[in-house]
Amino acid sequence: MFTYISRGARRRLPLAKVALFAGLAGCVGSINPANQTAPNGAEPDPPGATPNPTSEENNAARAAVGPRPLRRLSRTELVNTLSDLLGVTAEVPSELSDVLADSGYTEGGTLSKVEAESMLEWTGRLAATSAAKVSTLSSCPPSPTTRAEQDECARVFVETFGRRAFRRPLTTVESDDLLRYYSGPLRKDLAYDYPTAIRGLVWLMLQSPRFLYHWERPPEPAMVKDERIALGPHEVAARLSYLFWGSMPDDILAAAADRGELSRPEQIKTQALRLLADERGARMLDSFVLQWFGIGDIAKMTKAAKYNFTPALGTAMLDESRRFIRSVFEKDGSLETLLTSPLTTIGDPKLAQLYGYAGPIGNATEVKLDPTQRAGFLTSASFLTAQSLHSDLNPIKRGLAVVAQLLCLVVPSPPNNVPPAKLPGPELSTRKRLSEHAENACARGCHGVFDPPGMAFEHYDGVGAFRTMDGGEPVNSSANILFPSGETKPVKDAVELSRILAESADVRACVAQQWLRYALRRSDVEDDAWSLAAASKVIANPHADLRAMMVATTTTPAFLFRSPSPGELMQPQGDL
Amino acid sequence: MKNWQTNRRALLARLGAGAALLPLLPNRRSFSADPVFPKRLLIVVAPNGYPSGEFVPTGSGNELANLQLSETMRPLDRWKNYLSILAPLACPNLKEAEDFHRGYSMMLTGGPPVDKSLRGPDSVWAPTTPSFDQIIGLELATRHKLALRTLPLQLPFGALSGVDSKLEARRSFWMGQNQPVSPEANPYKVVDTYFAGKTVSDPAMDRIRAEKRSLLDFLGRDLERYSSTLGTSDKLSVGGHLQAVRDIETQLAKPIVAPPAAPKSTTEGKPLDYNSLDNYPALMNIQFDIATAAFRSDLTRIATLQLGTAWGDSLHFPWLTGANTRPWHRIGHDEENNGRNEKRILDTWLMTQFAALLDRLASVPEVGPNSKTMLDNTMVLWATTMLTGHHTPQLPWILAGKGGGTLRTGQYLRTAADVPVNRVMIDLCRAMDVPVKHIGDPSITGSVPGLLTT
Repeated sequence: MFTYISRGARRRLPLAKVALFAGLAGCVGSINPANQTAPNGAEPDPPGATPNPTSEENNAARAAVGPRPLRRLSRTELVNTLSDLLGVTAEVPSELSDVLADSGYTEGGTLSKVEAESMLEWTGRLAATSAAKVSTLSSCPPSPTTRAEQDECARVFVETFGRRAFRRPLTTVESDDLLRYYSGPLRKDLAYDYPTAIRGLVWLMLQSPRFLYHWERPPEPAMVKDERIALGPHEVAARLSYLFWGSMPDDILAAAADRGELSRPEQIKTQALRLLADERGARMLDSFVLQWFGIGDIAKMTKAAKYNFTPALGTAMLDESRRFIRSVFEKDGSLETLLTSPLTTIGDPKLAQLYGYAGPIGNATEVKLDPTQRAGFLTSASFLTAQSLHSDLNPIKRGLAVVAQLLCLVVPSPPNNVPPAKLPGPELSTRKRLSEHAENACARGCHGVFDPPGMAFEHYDGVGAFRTMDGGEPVNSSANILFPSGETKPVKDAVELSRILAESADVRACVAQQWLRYALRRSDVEDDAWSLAAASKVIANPHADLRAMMVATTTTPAFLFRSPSPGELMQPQGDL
Repeated sequence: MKNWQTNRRALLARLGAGAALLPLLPNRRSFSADPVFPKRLLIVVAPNGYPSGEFVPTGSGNELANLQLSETMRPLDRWKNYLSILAPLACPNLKEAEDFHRGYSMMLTGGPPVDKSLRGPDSVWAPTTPSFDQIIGLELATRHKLALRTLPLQLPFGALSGVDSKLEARRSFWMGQNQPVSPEANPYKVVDTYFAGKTVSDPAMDRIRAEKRSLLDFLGRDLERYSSTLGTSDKLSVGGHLQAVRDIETQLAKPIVAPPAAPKSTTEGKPLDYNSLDNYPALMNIQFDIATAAFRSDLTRIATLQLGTAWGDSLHFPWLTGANTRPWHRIGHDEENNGRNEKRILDTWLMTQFAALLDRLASVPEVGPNSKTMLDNTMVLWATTMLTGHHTPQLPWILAGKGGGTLRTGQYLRTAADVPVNRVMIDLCRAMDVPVKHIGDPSITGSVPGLLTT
């Protein structure tokens, strides 16, 4: 009665493969959604155009969508979810590590024996410490006395706690199963009393795949229509809450899902705006922006002794960045502010010294850095430190970060037989070392793309301090930047580069693409083109609030539908 | 409760877990008469390359006794009779890799990668077939009812960042596609689990143990149900989780017997911070102790140790290269720093540890028809993931130990440059009494002449 989807039901080429950067075929792939033709022959409206609602709805209804891979809750998601579910501050064991997914963003890793053992012990401790609290979640007296009363309470508990832990109502089969575990192994075989048996249920449910993985739908096979599967209300609710809060849906969102009120775009938009306006939404914005710029735990980086870099300084940099990102979204949330504002807060004297700032500082004191030296996030100590190597600044790394993270261009690994660039020395400026390296014929193609934006950062050393001399020569940070549109723009330094990037439609399209990867928890594919174009259209002007695009993404087909997975068990197709 | 030990293959088949293992499993057939002591395999994975000039011994002929080891390999001089250094091997499944860092996860699998076009631009290669240790481990654990298929261990990897934090950059061992085998970094947990178990019956502990078994049994069935509608790729991921749950269940079902003594290095003094790079040398010592103890007690016959991640960009050796330390990856590309060849210093240190490992295995007496010590019954594969430079499509591997008389040693095996590494793995499977036709790639069969004694 069910059918299996065969392999290759739909082509899933990453967008990167679609168009090649003009003039540099073979080196850099462009992923500009504005250049995409939407599937089914529908042309998305160009960015900037006023969308025609009728045609947009028609297009959305036909747009192809990409897959939705199963994901384990990440470490942050585990902490947040357990806090909301159990009211505990959980410390996730180190074995349950996160991974940098192909999307470029962090996801929970897979479970093999080491993780499963760790999970078993950890959830046991969590269940024991929170058992008293969770048993009050059902409407039962704290200690029901008769066996019948207890059994009834266990049933209510499974339904209410299960609804929250699994992020959707349990099916009868699921709750019956859990009750069998309660009455059989726990009450009968182990002769546990009521509270201990409830503790046992919590222990089990915290290890359930329904708690642990993002796949919030009942176990029935999915229904395919027009090669797409619509996510159910509870899937949409979880998708929204994990996107904006990194946690389970709250009562309001859960109730909306239960009432089936997450099917129309305006309903989803209302919830998305509500979640984003919350403090938890602000924290998520930090996390997205830091990951987008490739900034990990810089406090743990090891740097050469000459930089006097300490974990405390790294932490101060990260804190500054978090406050900066927050202030951007307290202001206008525009790409322009993010990439050009010299206003920040400095909480640490060593960081102030690094910035060459002598005035009063403090976490709540907004200061203006020298605007000829600092403009927005790309000139922050965090970015410049994260995108440097251990013992020198690295224009290649910085240039690649700009090209890959802000222009969404894809650069392949270095080809065979290119000798490495010369090591830094007192007699040789970085510019000389690299221009020699890029003269190498086989290296030239790619380096021509990512060296220039990297060279624009020559005024900043390996931890982001401003410098005027390099290798005995005055720093030369001028560069010609090649944009995916084929245009070349000269810049004299990173401040000017930042301004040009802030105005660039290519960068705005790329932000939407980055956000889509973050939201969908996977790399983008050709089939996302329509959704991507629809979301990036919202930020057609440089002053637009990025949050408009973030919210717009949640009503696109890419967010609300998925393609069937090869091998998936499906309900038979037909006119349903 | 079901007997998962015997049921394992059926279970694997149903869930896609380790599905790729199945067609390879042979009939039971012994390489030779059962030795008194079992044969074991220890695999060490070392990233970031060995320079070919240092790897290849100088002189003519195949006899190591007549050849000269390079400066960095010299610590192994005293074990020449127990070594089989293999001329750099071809690795057909990695030949498309732009650089060998990206093939880290696939070196021991021999099969093709997951279609990269499905995975996004900056992906690291991921295997579609199991690593050969898992093939041997599954068969031996089933055949001999061992507690563990393999004992996967690791050393601290440092604070991972960038591409090193991708899963495929941290995992060399796989049960199959989407099923990485995570190595254990915490030696004390291994000791607590296997070498310090309570032998006195404790009713409270017994009850928790019984609850765990019920829980895992339920959880396992739940995972099966959960994965029933999923697509193939997700089903494989959940299948790996399920297999882990069943493995723990099997372990708990074993009767409690007097555990073997924990290695001294793990019980003396204060526990070390097993995530700290400062403790890297001490932890290497401890992990080798644990592997030896696991072999001694026949907990498993296969142990693995990962020395680092695919790039090792966060792996520093301040205790070796001084305060101005650079990460392993950088040392691999730029050997000299402040007038010192740090690559040589590091490689010499690694080969010194290798020699010390052989000393340790040789210090465990195992007197039998083919052996005097554990080293006579063990094969060590020191598998470096590339030659220096990360583009040369050849792998420098060293074998050591006698493998119960199956491994031919005292030689530099001058194989042709196109001999695929798959054949070495096929031979090692055979030496472990798990003969297979191929590893990963059905088109590559046969063995490496001169590698084994028969």
